[in-house]
Amino acid sequence: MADRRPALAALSDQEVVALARRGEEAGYRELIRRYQRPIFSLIFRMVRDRELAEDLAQETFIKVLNAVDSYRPEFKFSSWIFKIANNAAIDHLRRRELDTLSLDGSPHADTPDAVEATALQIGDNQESPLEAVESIELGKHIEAAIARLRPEYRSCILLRHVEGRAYEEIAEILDLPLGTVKTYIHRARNELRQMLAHLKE
Amino acid sequence: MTSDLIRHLSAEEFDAWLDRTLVGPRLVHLDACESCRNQAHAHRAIAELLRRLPALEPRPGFADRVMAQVTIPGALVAIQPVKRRRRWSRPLAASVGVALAGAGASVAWSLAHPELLTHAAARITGLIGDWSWTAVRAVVSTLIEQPWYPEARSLLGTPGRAVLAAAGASFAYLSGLLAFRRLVTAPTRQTARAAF
Repeated sequence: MADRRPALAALSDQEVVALARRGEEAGYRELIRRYQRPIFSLIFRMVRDRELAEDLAQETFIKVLNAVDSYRPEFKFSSWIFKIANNAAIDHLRRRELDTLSLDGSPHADTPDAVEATALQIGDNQESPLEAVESIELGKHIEAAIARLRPEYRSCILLRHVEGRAYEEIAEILDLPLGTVKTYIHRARNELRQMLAHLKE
Repeated sequence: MTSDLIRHLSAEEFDAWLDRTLVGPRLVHLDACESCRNQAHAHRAIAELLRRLPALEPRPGFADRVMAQVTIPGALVAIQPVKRRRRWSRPLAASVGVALAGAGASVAWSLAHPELLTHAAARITGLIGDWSWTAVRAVVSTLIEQPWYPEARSLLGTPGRAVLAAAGASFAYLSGLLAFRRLVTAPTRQTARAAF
């Protein structure tokens, strides 16, 4: 398995999917390895609850990997999996009406441990303790501002500026016209700018 | 051309500037217009802050938890009946082997010593005959010594009585045999099942 990893890492998504469709477990695991962080990050930033995000991310992967035979190679695999992840998060937000959320952990967390367990951990790997503290504080402010955006703005801005997806791909993922995606991203940036204006150095 | 120099940047043009695809007179406007420049830099700062947000990881073992619920096509192997080794087959084979070897050795030895074998056979036959006769005598002596023996013998004292006793015993035996057979034979008609 360890010998195969570099070879697998060099393959395109389509090639890895083809491997999975042939029944190779290594193909499935490679897809999980490639997408677990971006998918979990996106869902976490949408729902702001670690446990829930993990459940939804797991649900996303199970859905995608169990339907890998129905995947159409003319589309990007990333678009497909991000679409399913985003739908899972949006569906949850619609059900629970969690459009605006607590800044520190799940709004359903009712004990300090639960708050800690569901809270976002950011700002790791910094060079000095001071920078780390500043970064954590800044990260918290940004995450909090993102959480206050409308869900559709949130999806767009996360996919564009956190995950680095192209406008066209975001339109495909969210089933929105390209112009709408651009408008949402622009408005989301404007709202964030206003929300974070107090942080101006 | 002049309007391109004067008009403020649109949302799409701010995006184009962030993507470094804004060109021509619109770039000239941006250089000249402080309002658009401030907005553009603010957008860039936000985009940069977002870009620097760390990727988050699920708890360790995520892949295993997912894979536990994924069905890999073709990975289901047809269930083969387990070929069970019978526990007694090996000792049985060993016993048969030993018996055959013993028999073979015995035949070989007998062929090599026919007169000794004849002598031993005669001796063994004699012994078996003696032991059998002794046993019969012991049983008969014991029977004769029983207190009910004289009465039982008087019942069979004449041939007629003996025939009657034999007929009664045969009848009792056959009746018992028929009753037992009927008891163990499967029913020929369907019987109603009990409903629970």
